[in-house]
Amino acid sequence: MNLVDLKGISKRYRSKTGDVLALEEVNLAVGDGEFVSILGPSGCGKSTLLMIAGGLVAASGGVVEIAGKKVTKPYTDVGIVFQRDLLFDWRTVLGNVLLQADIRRNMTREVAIERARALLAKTGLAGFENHYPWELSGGMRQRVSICRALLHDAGLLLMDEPFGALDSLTRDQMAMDLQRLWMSYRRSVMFVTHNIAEAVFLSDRVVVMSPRPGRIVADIRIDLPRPREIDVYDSPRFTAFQQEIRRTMEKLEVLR
Amino acid sequence: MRERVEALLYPTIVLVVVVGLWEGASRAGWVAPYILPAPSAILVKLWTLRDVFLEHTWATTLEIVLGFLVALVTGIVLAVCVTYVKPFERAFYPWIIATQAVPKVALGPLFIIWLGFGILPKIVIGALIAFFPIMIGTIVGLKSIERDSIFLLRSMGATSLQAFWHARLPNGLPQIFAGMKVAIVLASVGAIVGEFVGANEGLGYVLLTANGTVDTQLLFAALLVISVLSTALYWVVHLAESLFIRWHVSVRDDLTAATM
Repeated sequence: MNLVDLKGISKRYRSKTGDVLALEEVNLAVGDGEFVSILGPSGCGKSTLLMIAGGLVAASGGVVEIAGKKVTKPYTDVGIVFQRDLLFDWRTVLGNVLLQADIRRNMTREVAIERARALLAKTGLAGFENHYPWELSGGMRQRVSICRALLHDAGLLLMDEPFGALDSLTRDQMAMDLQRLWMSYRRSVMFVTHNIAEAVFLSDRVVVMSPRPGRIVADIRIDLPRPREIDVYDSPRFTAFQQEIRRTMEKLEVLR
Repeated sequence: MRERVEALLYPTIVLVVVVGLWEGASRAGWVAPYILPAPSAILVKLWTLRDVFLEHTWATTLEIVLGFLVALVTGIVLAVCVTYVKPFERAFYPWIIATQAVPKVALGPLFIIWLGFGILPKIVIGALIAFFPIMIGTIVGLKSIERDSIFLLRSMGATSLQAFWHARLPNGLPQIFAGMKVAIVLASVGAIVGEFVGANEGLGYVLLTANGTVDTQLLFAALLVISVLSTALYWVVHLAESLFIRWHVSVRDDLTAATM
């Protein structure tokens, strides 16, 4: 059963130099509890597609359906993680995670705090609850923003290059941790990235997009067993998936 | 610790040296006392007239504080209207900017005619000068929120009011306080100028009286009190800032880079 259904999505921007077609006829379905990566070169409109899926940006054409309902305004049964952690400097780590509950007002303070503490502990941030964001490293900050996105146990997680600003060691660790978190929740995830290995490691499916105007050119099922450990990167099947995606990129002349 | 001592010590040395030279020059008779009275004479004057000064200082303080508070409310309300109500911005913003080209001090006599010799014209002049930096600071502050932060809040189902309260306002506080610091100084200027134009109390009134009787000692004493008063008021705003935005880069002291 599909949770998210993007049907014939297109997006046209008006700019000084004329109209720009950012997305063209994108069809994408994300199953319930499925982890789907959207992979593509910079500027291919993958972030825009994610925002359209969340009802935050209006598509120029096409229909977004989530759980069978047409999305026409910001969809709220969702958690979002952006490339920038967007933590509020005036809130503590715990306070930043609780923002989700403070805005939604759908759980009691006690429950929210309990959930927030549990999430922070799971992501290795126990003991940092009362720290302020500027006292944390980039990786820790992004963990906080992931906790914030998970606090209300939303049915859909949208992640827009969440590890894009991190160094590669932290990145690998974050990917491992995200997989672990996701396996305990099993919610649908749409994960935008331009990192092939990261996409293969995390995903049930990798969707490859072309340069602008963004279209979907490949949809690859990654049936590696889970949990995937760090040495899966060296396995022949992992390498084969990477090669397949890289060839697709070469055909698109993204890689030359 | 050593830095703190130096931060106090160095300006104190400068003060002692300057005041010492001044005192010496006066006592040696290098300058006429009606041009530049000795610091000690000024302090004596201040002490003998302490009751009078207390009364006038209170009058001026009230004018400044009220002028500032009116400026604060108008500045923020106007900024919210400009930020949130597009037609309001279109229709009024250019005119609000244009009013800043009018030297508001020059409007003093008009306000005296309209509002009399009491406290009201001083508050109005002070507020009229002081609201502008607050308004500009607040507009910049409220507008400088990232698009993705707004997306994040919308995905949580936040109302405009929630977005204002939880994100835009706290995010804008540093700029609002920057505006307030300029505003408190301007409110002091406004009050004194208002008293110049027409008043029967306040430090500006004392200044004019001293001028009329060529009482330079009194003039300097009044200047001293005005300086101390407006510095003290500035520090109150500064203190409020460091309490309200302890989290901001400009206030917290975790960055050695700030001294680079």
